[in-house]
Amino acid sequence: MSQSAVRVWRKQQQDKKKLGQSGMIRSWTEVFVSPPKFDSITPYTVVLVELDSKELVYGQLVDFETDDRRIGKKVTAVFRKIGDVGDEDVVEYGVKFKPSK
Amino acid sequence: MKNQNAIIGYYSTKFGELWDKTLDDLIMDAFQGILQEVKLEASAIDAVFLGNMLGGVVEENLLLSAHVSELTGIHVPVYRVEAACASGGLAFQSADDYLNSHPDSTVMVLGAEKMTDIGAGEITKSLAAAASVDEQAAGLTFPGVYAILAQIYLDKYGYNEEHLASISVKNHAHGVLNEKAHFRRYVTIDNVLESPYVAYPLKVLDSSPISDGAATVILTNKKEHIASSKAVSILASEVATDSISIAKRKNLDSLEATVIAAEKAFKKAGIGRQDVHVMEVHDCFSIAEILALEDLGFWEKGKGGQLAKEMVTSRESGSNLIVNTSGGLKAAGHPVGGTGIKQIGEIYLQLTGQAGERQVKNLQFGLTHNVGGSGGVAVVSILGV
Repeated sequence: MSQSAVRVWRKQQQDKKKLGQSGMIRSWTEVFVSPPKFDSITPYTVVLVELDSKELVYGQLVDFETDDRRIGKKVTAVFRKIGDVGDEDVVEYGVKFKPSK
Repeated sequence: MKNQNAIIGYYSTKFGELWDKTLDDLIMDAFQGILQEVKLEASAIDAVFLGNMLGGVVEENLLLSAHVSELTGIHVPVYRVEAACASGGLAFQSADDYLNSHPDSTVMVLGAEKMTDIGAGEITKSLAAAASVDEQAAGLTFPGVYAILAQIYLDKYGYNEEHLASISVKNHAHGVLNEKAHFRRYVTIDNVLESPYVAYPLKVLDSSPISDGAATVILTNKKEHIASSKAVSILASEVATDSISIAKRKNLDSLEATVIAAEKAFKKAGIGRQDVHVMEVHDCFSIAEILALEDLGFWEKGKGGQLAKEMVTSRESGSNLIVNTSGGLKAAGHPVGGTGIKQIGEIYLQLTGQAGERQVKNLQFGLTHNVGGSGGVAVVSILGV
C-alpha cells in the first residue's frame, strides 16, 4: 500500500494526542515475520497498552531491557520514526512506547 | 429428511503448494469436481456463492463472478463473499439464507484461494489487511494479533507454550488420515516447541500454513435432489460480528463473535452441546482452538489449556467429542477462502459415513466454526442427519 504523505499526516493528527501519556502493558509479542515496511527492524516488540485513561492502544516497545517486557510494566508514549520509507520516500513519525522510569 | 435446506455433495482439491495452479484453475477444478460428484449438469445450478479473500491482492484479480462465468459458461448470479478467513463460512451462510427465499433452487458454494505465488513478507502484509489500521500501523501481523491474545490467556490462567503445542500435535495426527491435507505427518511436542517463532509465543508449528486450494458443496431445497442423494440437513448457520481491533473489545480472553454465533445456532437447531460429537473449529493458531472450544460452550472458560494438553478431543481419546478430524487448518491447510467450505465438507463426509479411515461412528449432528480476522466475524453452522 502506498505510504502517502497525506495518509501519514492524517494518522499523526490522532497519534499526537497520545504523546507523553503513560499506561501499562496489557499484552505483548515479538514479531519475527513482518511486512516489508518493518524489514530493517525485525524482530521487534509490539505492546498492547492500557493508557491511564483506560483506552487500549498499540505501539512498538523501544529502549527496553528484557525484564521490562512483561504484562503490568508501566510505559510512556514517545515520539519515534515508524518503519522504513516506501516508494514515495516519506519518512513516517509516530508514537512508540518506552518503559517508564 | 425434513423439508429444509440440505447439502447433497462435497468436493475438494488437494490443499497445499499447488505451483501449477492459478486461482482460476482451482475454481474450475472444484466446479467440475463437484458436478461430477453429485451427477448434475451446470445448468442445474441457480446461483454460485464464491468465498475468496485475496484474489484482488495476490493475483490482482477482482470481479471473480465473471471469471466463474467465463470458465464454466454459466450466466447465473455469482456472489463473491469476503470475510477474510471466514469467507468460505460466510458464503455458505449466505447461500443457506438465499435458499430460504428461493424455493425449488440449487446453489453451489465454492471457496478458493491462491496464496503461494508471493513471498512471506508480502503474504504477511496481505493477511494483515484483515487486522485493524492501528494494528497494522504498529507492525502487528495477523499471527501477532493472535500472539497478543495468547499471552493474555496464558498469563491469566497460568498455562505455557506446551499447552498450546498439544493442539498442533493432535491436529497433525488427524491430518495424516486426510488424503487432501497439506501436511500428512506427525509432529511431537518437542517439534512444536523447537520450531522458530513467528510472533512470540506462537511458532511455525502453532500456525496454519499458507496454502492453495478450493472446496465446494452443493446446497438445495429441491425435494427430488434431497431424496436421491446422500443429504445432510442444515439445522442452523449463524453469523456474528465484532470490532476489527481487539483493543476495542470488552474481553481479551474470548472471541465474543463466536459466543454469539454459537448461542444463536444452538437455539435455532434446537439441540444441546451434548448432542454434538464431531466438530471442525477454526485453529488458525493453536490458541484459537482453545478459545474456540471455550467460546462455543464446550469447555469452561480457563480450563482449555489443561484439556488441550490432555488431548481430550483426539480420535485416540475415545471421548464423545472429536475435533478437527480433517487435521484442522493446521494440518489440512488454510487456503483462506476455501477453509470454511472444507469444514462443512468434512462434517458432511462424517455424517454420511464417507470419511474413510477418519470416520467417527454413530453420528447424528456435527458443527463447524469459521472465524474471520481475529474474531471480527464468526460463522457457526450445525448440520444433522
